[in-house]
Amino acid sequence: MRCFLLLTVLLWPSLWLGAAPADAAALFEQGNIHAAQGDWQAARASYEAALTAAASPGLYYNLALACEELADPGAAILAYERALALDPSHSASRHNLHLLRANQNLPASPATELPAYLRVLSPRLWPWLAAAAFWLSLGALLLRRLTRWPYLLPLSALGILLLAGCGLAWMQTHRLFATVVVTAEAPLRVAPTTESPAHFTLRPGEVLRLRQLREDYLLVDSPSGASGYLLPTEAARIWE
Amino acid sequence: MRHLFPYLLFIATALVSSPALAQAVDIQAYISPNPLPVNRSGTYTVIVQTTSPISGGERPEVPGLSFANPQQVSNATYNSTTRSLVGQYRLSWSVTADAEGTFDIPSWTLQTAEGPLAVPAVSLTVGPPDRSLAEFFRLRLELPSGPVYVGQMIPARLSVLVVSGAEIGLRSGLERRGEAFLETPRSDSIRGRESFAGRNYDTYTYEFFVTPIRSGTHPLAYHLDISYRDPRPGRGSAVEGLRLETNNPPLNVLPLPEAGRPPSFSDAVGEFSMETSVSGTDLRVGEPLTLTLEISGQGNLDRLSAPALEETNGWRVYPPKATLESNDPARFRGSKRFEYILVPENEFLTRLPPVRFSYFNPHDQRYEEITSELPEVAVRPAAEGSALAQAYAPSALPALATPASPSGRRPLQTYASAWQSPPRPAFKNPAFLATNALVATAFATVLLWRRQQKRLRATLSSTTTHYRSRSRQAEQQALTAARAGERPAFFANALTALQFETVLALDLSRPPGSLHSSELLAALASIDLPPELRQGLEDLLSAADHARYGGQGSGNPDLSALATLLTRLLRTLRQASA
Repeated sequence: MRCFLLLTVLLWPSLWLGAAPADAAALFEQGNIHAAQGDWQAARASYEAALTAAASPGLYYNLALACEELADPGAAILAYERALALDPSHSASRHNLHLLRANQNLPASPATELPAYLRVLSPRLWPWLAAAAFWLSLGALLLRRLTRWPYLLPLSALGILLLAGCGLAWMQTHRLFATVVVTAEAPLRVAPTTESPAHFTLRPGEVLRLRQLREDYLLVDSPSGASGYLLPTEAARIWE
Repeated sequence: MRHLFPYLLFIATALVSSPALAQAVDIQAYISPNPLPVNRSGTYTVIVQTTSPISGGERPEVPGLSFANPQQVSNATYNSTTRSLVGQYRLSWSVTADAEGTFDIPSWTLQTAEGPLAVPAVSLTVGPPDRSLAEFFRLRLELPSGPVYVGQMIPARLSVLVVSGAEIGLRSGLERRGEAFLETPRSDSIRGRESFAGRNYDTYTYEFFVTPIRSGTHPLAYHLDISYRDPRPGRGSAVEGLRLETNNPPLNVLPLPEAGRPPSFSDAVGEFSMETSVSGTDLRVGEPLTLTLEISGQGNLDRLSAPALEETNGWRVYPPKATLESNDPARFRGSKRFEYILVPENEFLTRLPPVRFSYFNPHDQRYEEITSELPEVAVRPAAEGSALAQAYAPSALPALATPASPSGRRPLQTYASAWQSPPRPAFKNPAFLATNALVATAFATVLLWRRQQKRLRATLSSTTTHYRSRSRQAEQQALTAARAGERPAFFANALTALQFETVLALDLSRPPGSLHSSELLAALASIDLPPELRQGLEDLLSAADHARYGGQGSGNPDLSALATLLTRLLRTLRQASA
């Protein structure tokens, strides 16, 4: 039993963190060199290649800058949103995203409106914390049958509270990181066919709520409340 | 009478000539001593006798000669013959030559009410320095060893050493030769005593800081003109002048190195530390915040300029207020505080502008840079409808409202932050699923193990109850058989009762009925039975074996005694099993 617990403790961080892949770091550096030379196309290619190996807030941020330089605001906004999805406290991404959305006459991003207490942790960490709280409270309840330690019940109650809090936080943050329009023109179709008339055309960088994911179309809700269909190439999910 | 004649002649001559003398002007000029050693100071004296006061005049400057300590003494006598006042004016200066040679003080003019008066020219011969007094009077400059850099405040001590018992006076103040240095006083003159080369000296020490302002090799020398009475025996009591000079070699001042100079460097030289504090971290847009930097240490604190804040986008920064706190008159040690007022212009700010302060450490001969450790801030929007909310509305912010303003954008990041997998919901993350599965498995294992243990304990409990019941039942039957005199039934039931109780007492895993008499005896050897009971047990088992295997004819044991023995044995075994 002890070995089992020890194994769990040892495996936990290795499963979660993972080592920084050398090729990703090298591609990131290479992208920075291209960017410093003003070759933004090559820089973007390097950053995108690095993303196939690993991700980081800094990498998404630099990719967003490259996309901005290449006049691709949709991809830039998507990259900024992904940087914030990994690290909601990444102030440079928050700042540039705010500027870019203002320049594109887009409303403020939901990600930039996150309250400060929800920026403490990455949205991906809330489920982990919730799971830890769940197992903690369950473990405390089980231990009560084995030992008479008086703090087990309060510990269990604390775990349940933590579980509820983390669950709420995760729900609140996760729904913000939805789908972003990445192409210059994306008609919001009434029906899932190319011949379908469109409600209107979405602008690059608009954040949509994904209702359904099909093989050939995405059913989304626009900020104005209209639902419609987009091609998978026209929008990308912030959370992959 | 003959003795009085010369006096009478002098008085008569004086009386005759006095009206003429009263109207004449007499003017003399001389330097004493002449010749003069180069390190000694002489006195340039002009004596004027006139009936009208001196109203002005300008002594000419002579290259190579320095004049100091000007003095004017005048007195007057009443001439009853001419019925006028005759004045004598004595003007004097301490004069010192920089080098050997002949120096001419040209004729110059003094102004009086009766007209200008010409001061005659004087020639001064300056000879080699007089070293004979060096052992009595000295001027010493002490500087620390090691390289010296531009802007570095170097502690220095300048001491006047006067042999004990000698008297000196100052003819001029301390003068420095060396335009490449600045001086900062550190303390008042300190008086002390010192023994040096077999003589005792009174010392007058002046501590100060010297700051080089130019790189290169530059002389740094001081001199002081004193008056003294020669302390050597037989030299009389005349007051003479002497110039004391330091003889340090020129200082090699190094420029601050270009290599490794941080961009934030602003001429701070010394050893410093920096502490930062902020007035609050939870604020609203438009609310001012005070960021305080306190730079402490030693060095040119007085000349420290405020470090520039970096990445101030989104912050309105006002010029800082500087306060220097130091108990040191030279302001070499202490702290300098800079208070910046910052106003957040939008609610997306989470970090304060970083501050970097760098300085050159002359001891380690390298630049050091300190980066501020500032807390994160939370900026909330200004209260709705307030003046701040209108002033800081996004449309009112030039940085945010100007489209495509590259300067408003944060620059490229050179570090990638923490590497991780792309953003993906946790329920799609294999690590999350695996970890939770692992923990769930662990919990399930614990639960199953607990359940199995419980079941085992329940089984064991029911077996015990059954065995105990069977033992009691056999005991009762044995006692009944004993009373009835039925030997086979008695022995069979007695053996059964003993088998069950032995299994219970020793927690044996064998079926009770499989235990033979010898095995029972061997097993019960581990139980501490009284000797008579152990003997009785052996007798009982032996009788049982006889009854079992020997038939009706094998002896006639006392059943009631054996029944009593059985009861005692079973009671002892039950106590042992409990």
